[in-house]
Amino acid sequence: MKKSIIIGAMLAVGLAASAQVARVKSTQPLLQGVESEMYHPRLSPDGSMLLFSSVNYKGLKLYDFNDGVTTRISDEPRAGFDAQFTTDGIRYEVKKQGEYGKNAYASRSRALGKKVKPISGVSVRTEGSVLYITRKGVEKAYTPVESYAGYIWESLSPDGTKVMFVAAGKGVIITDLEGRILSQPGMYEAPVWLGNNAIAAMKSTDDGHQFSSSQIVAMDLNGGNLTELTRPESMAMYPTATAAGDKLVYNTIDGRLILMNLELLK
Amino acid sequence: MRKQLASFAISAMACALASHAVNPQDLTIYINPGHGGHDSDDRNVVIYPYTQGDPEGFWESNSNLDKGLFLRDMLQAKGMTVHMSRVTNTSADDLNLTEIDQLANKTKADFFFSIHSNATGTSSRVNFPLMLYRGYDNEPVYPGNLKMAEILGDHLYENGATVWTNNVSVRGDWSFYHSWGDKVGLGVLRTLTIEGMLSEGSFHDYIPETYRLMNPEFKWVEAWHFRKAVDQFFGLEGDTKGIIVGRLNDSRLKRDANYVTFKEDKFVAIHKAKVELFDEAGTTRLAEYTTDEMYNGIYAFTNVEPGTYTIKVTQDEYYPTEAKVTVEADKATYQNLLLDKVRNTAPEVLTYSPVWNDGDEYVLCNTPVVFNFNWDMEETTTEKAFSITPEVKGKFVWSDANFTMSFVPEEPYTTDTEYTVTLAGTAQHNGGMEMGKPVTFKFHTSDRNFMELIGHYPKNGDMVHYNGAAIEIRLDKHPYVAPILKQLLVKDSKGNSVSLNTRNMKYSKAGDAFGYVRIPFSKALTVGDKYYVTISKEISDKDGITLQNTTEVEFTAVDAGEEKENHTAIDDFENAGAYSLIADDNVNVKSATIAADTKEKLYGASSASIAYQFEDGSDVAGEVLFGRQAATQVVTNGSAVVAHVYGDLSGNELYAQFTSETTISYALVCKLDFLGWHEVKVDLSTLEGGADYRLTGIKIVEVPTAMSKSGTIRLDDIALSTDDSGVESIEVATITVHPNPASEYLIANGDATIGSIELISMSGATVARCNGNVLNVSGVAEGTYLAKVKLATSNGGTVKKVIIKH
Repeated sequence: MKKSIIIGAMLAVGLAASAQVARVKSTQPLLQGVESEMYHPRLSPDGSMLLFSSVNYKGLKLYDFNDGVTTRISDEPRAGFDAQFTTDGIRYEVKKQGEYGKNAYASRSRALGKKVKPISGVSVRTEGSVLYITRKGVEKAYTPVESYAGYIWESLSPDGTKVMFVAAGKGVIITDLEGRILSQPGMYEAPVWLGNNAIAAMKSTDDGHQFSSSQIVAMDLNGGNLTELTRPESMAMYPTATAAGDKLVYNTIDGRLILMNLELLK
Repeated sequence: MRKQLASFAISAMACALASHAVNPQDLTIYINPGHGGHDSDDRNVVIYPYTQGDPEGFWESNSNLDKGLFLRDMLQAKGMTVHMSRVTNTSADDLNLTEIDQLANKTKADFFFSIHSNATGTSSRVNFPLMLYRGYDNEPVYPGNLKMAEILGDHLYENGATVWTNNVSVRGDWSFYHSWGDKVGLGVLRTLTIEGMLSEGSFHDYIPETYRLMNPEFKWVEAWHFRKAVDQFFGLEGDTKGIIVGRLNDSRLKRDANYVTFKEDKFVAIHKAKVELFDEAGTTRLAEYTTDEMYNGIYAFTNVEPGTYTIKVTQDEYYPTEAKVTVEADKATYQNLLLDKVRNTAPEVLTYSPVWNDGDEYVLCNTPVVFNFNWDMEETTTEKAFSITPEVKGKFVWSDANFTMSFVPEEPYTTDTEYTVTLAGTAQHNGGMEMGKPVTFKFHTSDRNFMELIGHYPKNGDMVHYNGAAIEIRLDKHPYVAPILKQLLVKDSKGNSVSLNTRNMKYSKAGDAFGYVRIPFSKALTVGDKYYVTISKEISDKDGITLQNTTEVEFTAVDAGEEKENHTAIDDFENAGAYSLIADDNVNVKSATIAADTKEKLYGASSASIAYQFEDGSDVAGEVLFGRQAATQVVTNGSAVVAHVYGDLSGNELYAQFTSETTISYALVCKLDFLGWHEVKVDLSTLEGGADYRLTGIKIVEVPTAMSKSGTIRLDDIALSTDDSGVESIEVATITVHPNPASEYLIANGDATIGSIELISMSGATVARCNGNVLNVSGVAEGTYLAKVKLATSNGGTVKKVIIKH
């Protein structure tokens, strides 16, 4: 374990300068030697549990940091694609094998018997190039930016006051709850919140067929104070973070999960 | 058994698919037209009349988008919901692969198509549909992936308006791109949660296909086959109407093209032909199509009611043609037609060459015989009508769409000889009419028919210093240097080409006594490796007179300047000023200097550079001597002495002057028949036995040839030696390997796809290996290693020294 921590620390870019938004305190691999081909991690807001899947989102597993136990939630296709922590469990959706049309998908849930996410009166979703924000049970549609291909990777800030998503071809967009653009941090993939005033995202390059680099970066909401949490050659992808932004997990291209302990800098 | 079970499962799924038809209004299809934006990862194929980068020319992104838009419209017309990753073609539309998958997953589409066309990436040409799905061959991640790939492949292969060279290929991307690593495959299929596949519909680097892909209707037909595949896959009703598609080519006239063609593509595609669709009786015209001027001859009629029709084709330069066709619902009727050109006069020779008359300058011995005709000629009868006396072996080359025939001699003509050429009147044009009247002429050849290679370096078996090495050839005439890089080839022991530094190429100019070309290697050679040089007989002078034979050379890269503990310097040549010209001993010396050279050296701060020039026009060989005070180190005729010499390929001889208390002797250091640094053994056999000698000078003696009159050599350590062994590894880098030092991953990137990385310890043990371009080195001990990188699509690769540091 000691060696792994050292390796992680070398790979991560420890930074203390004022122009950074976060400092990497330590990193460590998760479930090393226990699980393989772990992709698309999703941390519970409190950081006590972690969902992960396979490279094409088939199947879903839950890792509990408290007892170190991994539980198989589903083996079904797509189970890991949009798996969410609810207030007291997990909600996910599966694709029924060989079924087509509107009835090909089914919702699933699993109660965890404990509260893992605070109750929020706000939720967000995207469909095509429309952002839907629901407040107090009322859903409103917004189109903050033109994007033919659509909006993806939408999320609500931990304090429930801001919305973030990626407009394909346009980059990361942050809006208020009225759909007004607050900032456009830049061209990144799979962004997540680090607290309420910073974000982390994946930044990859490819040669048309294979990835050339992929790293996790952090920045303020305007895209400033860009902080390399991992180097480009780390092949780090799909970050997920706690609501407080003190823990971040990502997967590597070959299916390993890395936990990163962070200190957010003012 | 595993595959059989998988196949059974797929078959079972196919039955299930066929028996559970769904309502098209319930279906959603995601279309990803591949690439975008005419940028670095787009594919631009240069075809006349367009130039490189012309946005109006062929771009795969344009072609893919057109097909995608046609398909979208067809599917939407059936009531399906269609999403596309782009509908325009800018760099902003060229989405990251992860974005495309995320977008497609969110739509919950029932199927995902990534539409592409293919390229070989090599000089060979083929044309066939390649269908790729996620998974291993016959073991798809989702059964529908394979089923759709098979269905679509079959439909695309039905296209009779193209020219296929191979059968359709349906492959799992994990198997097809196995060298990228297990379960890596295509990035655009990597994280899909929905069924999907990537279609390489045809090969856009097969130029006749490139031209077809410039025709909108041809792309529409490909989309139409996609639509049919969707219908079949989901068990939907087909179209109640059919289509007629075809291609018009000349029946005999060949394309005037320098690209590869197969089957009917060898013949001219007919421009501006009017294709009219009539009823069966041929009386009522229903539709009309005019072929474009994009060298494809494609025509199409869509939305045609089932029935029998007559197609009539007219074009001013061709005889009218017609054909009866039958159209069935939801089927394509392919009707290609070969048209006969109107050729209504006899063929004639308009011009010929060489034209020579008594008293004219003699004709070069490599001059082809060329005829220009008023019609495109029929090859067999025209070649048979040709004769040349005395007999010469050669080949016929047809160009200008068979309006020009050339006879190219296999070997140059005999010198100083009169030849008679006849083209008999039996030569015919492609319309079958004979020329009638023969054509005869004579020419007389000159007195030179080959170029002479008078020297070259390296020579076979040479040991060449790895750093700063160069190739040089010397010729009796000045060479034509423009194509020289295709005529001077170097390969390493694995057959990979070794690049030469053309920017620093030097070659002979007017006034030089002989012709030469000198090209340094781009990078240091690898010590211990063998290299192979080909000096092609195609090397020629400005008149095209070539060498008679190709020369093959094998040499080995060595470190001529390797530090050796068992060497004791006699003179390290750090002080060139210690030498002075001994004028009394010079013979026919026009000029001679010695100076320190701090740039071209093996040891210490400098070498000694000697530039010399002997007088022209003398029958006596030149000699130049530089003397110095006697060196401290004593040698005898039993000593082993090595010298480090930078040769000048003059062919002259280099001697060391040794002086004893009673005699002055000259020991042959080497013959200067090489370039660059060599470590040579000095022949001390001329020294008297039992006497102690000291080094007192350096002498160059001319060996008269065209190359001997001047030169520049360099000298570095002359040393007593007891051992001359030792080879040290020197790495070369042609592919980027990063980071260095590496801790977690070692990544290789290059112009071509990386197939594998192997990490080898300095003791030769393989400590880590991966397929693909990313090697996990987190568990490798710190230290220095060799990273052996191989390309996926060839035997190419490189070896790079890397450091692992945690």
